[in-house]
Amino acid sequence: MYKKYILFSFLLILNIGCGAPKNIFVLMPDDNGHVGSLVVTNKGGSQILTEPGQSTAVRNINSAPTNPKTMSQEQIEKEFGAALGAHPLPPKNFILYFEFDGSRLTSESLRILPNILKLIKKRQAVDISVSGHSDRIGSKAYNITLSKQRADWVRNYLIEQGIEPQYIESSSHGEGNPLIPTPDNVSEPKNRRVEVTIR
Amino acid sequence: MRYFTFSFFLLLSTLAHAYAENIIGRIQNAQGESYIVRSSLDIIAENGSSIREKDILKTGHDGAMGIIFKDNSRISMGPNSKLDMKKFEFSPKDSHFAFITNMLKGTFVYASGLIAKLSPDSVRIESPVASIGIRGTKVLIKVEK
Repeated sequence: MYKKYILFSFLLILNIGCGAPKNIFVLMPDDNGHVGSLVVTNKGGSQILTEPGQSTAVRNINSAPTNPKTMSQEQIEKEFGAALGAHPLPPKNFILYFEFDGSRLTSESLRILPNILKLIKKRQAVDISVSGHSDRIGSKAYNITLSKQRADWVRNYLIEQGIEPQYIESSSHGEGNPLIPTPDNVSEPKNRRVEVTIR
Repeated sequence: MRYFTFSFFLLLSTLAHAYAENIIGRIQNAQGESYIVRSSLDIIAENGSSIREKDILKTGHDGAMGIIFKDNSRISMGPNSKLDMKKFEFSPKDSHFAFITNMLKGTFVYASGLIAKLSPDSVRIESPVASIGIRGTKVLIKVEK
């Protein structure tokens, strides 16, 4: 009788110890240190995580996610070190401002250009977007052209400085995407801009 | 004959431009055995390689890579991992948003971007046994096989 009992316990321990394949989810802060929330759901139920380092495990599609358990830094590094090492940096945004009605950068913005270049080269960035904008003086059609000229100016500058054209995507938003909303035909220097996003 | 050649190149450049529009992200930090599987073909993943909808990304025992998407979201994967980029739509102008990915095996780091910010219900991150919802943060995911 004891033999059966021992065998059963042994098998049970084996099962728990070896662990059936499972999925693990860990909540982490974003690059600004801000911690959002994570909800893991399946047919068995749902589990919400709100503290950094908290993890939940799911054995199969019908077993509810387990209660939160904190994962140590060592464990996180051991399991996820390679994936963390390959994670891309968060994108960096620059705003360049233009003089009224044209593609002349303001003197302050001219001084920012070298910083943009430096960061692109430092990151070996392969995905750069340049979007042109205008304020609401002038017609919509005119401003589409104007904002495109501004975006093209910045894109051409980057190419002249040695950045691969295929890595730079240019778009023009006309007056439709203001930083500061204004009524029609109102001058607003902060909307006369090009936004450069470096990924 | 000249007209034909001209039209041919015009068509080619139009297709190339349209094709370029289908890029949803690019590879960064690629190392070791890392591949993009597209139409059943293995393409070696290199820094700068473009990613398209329906691409499957996979790494070997020494592979790792990161992807940064057009909406600034980021996914990275460690060795022996496999990911299916099922759907990606980022068009704020007409409010078209979608981000659906299936993590099939391995280890992953996911950081949400603009699609999650502007339309959280358009984001579905799935593993074989669960799906996750995320609000502005980073998540680590391990899928054992």
